[in-house]
Amino acid sequence: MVEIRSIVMSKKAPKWQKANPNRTDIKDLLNKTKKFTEMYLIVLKERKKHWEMYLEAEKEKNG
Amino acid sequence: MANPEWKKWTIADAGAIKDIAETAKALAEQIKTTSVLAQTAMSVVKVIAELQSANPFLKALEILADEAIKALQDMKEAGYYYLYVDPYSPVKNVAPKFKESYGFEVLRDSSGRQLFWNPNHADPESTTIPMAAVPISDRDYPDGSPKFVPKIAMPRKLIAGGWSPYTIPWTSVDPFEKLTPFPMYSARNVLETMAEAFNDEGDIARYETNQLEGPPSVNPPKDAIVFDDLGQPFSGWDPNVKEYGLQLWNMGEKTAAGAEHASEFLKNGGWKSEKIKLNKVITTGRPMSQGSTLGDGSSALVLIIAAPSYKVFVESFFAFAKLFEDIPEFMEAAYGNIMDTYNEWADPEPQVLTLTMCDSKYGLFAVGDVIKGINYGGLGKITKIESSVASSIVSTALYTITDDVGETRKRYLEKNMNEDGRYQDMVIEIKPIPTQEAKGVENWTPQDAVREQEMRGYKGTGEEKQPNYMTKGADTASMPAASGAGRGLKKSKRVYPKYGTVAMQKLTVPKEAVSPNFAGIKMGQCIPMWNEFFEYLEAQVQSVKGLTVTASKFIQDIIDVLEELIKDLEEMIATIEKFLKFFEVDLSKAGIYALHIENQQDGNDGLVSAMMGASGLPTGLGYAAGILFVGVELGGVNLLDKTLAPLIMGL
Repeated sequence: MVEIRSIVMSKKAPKWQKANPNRTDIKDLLNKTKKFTEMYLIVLKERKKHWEMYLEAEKEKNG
Repeated sequence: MANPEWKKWTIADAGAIKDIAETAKALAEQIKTTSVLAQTAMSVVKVIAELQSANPFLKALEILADEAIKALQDMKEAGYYYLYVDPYSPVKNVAPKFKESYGFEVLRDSSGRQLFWNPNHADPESTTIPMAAVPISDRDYPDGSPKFVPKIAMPRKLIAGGWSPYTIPWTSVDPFEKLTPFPMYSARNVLETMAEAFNDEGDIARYETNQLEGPPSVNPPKDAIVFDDLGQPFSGWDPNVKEYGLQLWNMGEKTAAGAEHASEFLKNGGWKSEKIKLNKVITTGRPMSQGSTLGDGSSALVLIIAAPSYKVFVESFFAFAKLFEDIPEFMEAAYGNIMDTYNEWADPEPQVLTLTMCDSKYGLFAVGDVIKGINYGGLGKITKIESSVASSIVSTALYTITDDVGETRKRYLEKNMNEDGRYQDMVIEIKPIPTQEAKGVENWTPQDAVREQEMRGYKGTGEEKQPNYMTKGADTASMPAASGAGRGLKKSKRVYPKYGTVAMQKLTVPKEAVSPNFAGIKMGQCIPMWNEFFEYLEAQVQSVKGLTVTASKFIQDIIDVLEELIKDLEEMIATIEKFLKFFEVDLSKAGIYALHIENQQDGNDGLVSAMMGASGLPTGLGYAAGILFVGVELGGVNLLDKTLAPLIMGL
C-alpha cells in the first residue's frame, strides 16, 4: 500500500527590515490630477487660438 | 496621560487627504462639466467645425478624469485598525523612563578614567591609580576587605553615575557611558506595549444608543429583536441602555420571527441598504475583540521609528510624521514641539551672570573658562566678559582718639579693604551646559561658590557624548599644603581653580520655539487655493453660458475668460508640482523599521507571537515610538496585505 503524505509549505517567518515608506497613493492621485490639468490646458490654448483666428476672420469680413 | 488605544484609519478619510480627495474629485467632475458647457457656448456661434481638432483631447481628458476618480475610490476602500505608541511628542500616551543611579562623585584623570587609591596606606596619595590599572591581586586584602577603593571628590557630591557602595566597581562598566540626558523608551518597550494592547480587556468596541423616533420598525421598543452587522438576530434590546458592545440595526437577513422577508427586494439582499443604525461607534476596540464582526484571518504591519540617539530619533519621527499626517496623532505630534527637549539640551539660551569677589590672585575668569556653582548648581562656558570692576569691600573700624589733655573719644571710620582691586565684580555671559542631574540647564543661586572647571573624560556615548567637568585641581586637594618659608619653603603640588561668588542671574526671555524641520510646505496648505480656483472656474463658466452680447464682443469675452483660465491652470500645475515635492521624502536613512506579518489564522495571539518572535530588529534602539496596523480578512481578501504593506514596505 502506498502512503500518500501531503507537504504543507510553512510561511516564511516575518522579519524586521529597514523601511523607506512613501505615499505612492497620494503621489499617484496628484500625478493623475496634474496630467489631466495639463491636458486641459492644451485644450484651452487650442480653443483660444481658434477663437482668435475666428475673431480675426470676422474683423476682416466686416472690413 | 492617555493610554494607547486601538483606532480605525481609512487612508482617504481623514484630515488633509480627505480635502485632497474631495478636491481632486471635484476637479475631475468640473473639467468634464466645463468641457460640455464650453462646447454648448461655442455651438451658439457655430464654430464647432473649427474646433474639431480639440475633440480627441476632450476624450483623453475624460479618461484621465476617470482614472483620478478611480484612484480616489481605491484609497477610500481600505481601512485598518491602528495602535499608536508615542512616549515623546505632545500626544504621548506612554511614559518614558530615566535609567540612572546616583552616587558620590569619583575623581578622574585627564582621560576621564576613574581614580582609585588605598586610603590605608602610609602615603595614600602615592597609591592613586586608574581603576583598570589596579592589579587583580591588589584589589582586596587577604581577609577579603577592600584594599583599593574609589577616590571620592571632596567635598562629597551626589551626581548621576557616581559611585555607590552597592555597586561592584571591578565588574561594572563605567556608569558615565550609560548616561543620557533624555528619557528612554526602547524599541522593545514599544513592542511590549503593543503586545499588551492586544490583550487589553477593557479596550473593546463601544456603541452609543441613538435617540430615534418613529414607528417600531425603525425605532424598536424594549425587548424587540435587533440585528448585528451580518444581519443575525439578538434579543435583550433596550433603547434606554446607553451603550452596547456591537453595532446594531433594526433589520436583518431574516425577520424578527426568523422567517424570510416578504418583499422580494429585501429577501434578495435589499435589507442591507434599507436597514437603520440603532447605535453609533464611540470606540473601535482592539481587533478581534468580542463583538467585532470580523473575518477569520488577520495580518499586521508594525512600524517602529527608533534610533540609538535622541537626535536621530527626533529627525526620523519628524520625517515620518510629516508623511503620515493624515493619521490624526501624527498630525498633532508633527506640529507639537518634540524638538524642544533636544534644542534645550543641544543649543540652550545664554545666561548673564553677575559674580562678586572674584579673586585675581588665582586669576580672573576669562572667555573660554568653564565654571560651576559648586553647591546649588549651574554650569556653563564663558562666552563674554561684559564688565569687571573692583568689588566694594568696606569695613568699619572703631578708633580711639586721645587729645592733648589726655581725653579719649571713640570714632567709627570706614576703610576700603580692596584698595588694590584684588577682588572684582564681574558681569559675564555664559553658554550654559546642561547637566545630567537636571536633564537640562541649571539656574544659579546667589551666594553659591563658583569654581573653574576642567574636562575629565566624557559622559554618554555617540551623539550624546558630552564632556565631563570637574573642579580644577580637585584631584590635588588632598595633597599637602605649602609649608615653611624662605629657603625652607616646601611648595605644594595643589592646583587652585579660579573662584568667585554668585551675586545674581539676569532673567532672559526665551526665544520663540521653531520646529526646524517644518519650514517648508505643509500638506493642506494648497487646499484653500484649489477650492477658490474651482469656485472661480464655475463662476466663469456660468458667465460664459449667460452671455447675450454681440458676436464680436462675445468672442473677445470668451478669449479673455480663456486667458484667465489658462493662467489659473498653469498656477495650479505649479502648485501640484510643489505638493508632489512635499511627498518626495527619502526615509531610507531614517530609523524606521517595518515588520509585516502576513495573513494568519491564529487571531491576536498569533499576531503577538509573530511580533515578539521576529528577528532582525537591531539592538540598542533606546528611543522609539511606533504604530501598528492590523488588517482583517474580509471576503477572503486582506487589504492590509494587498495595499498598505506594499505601500509602506515599497514592495
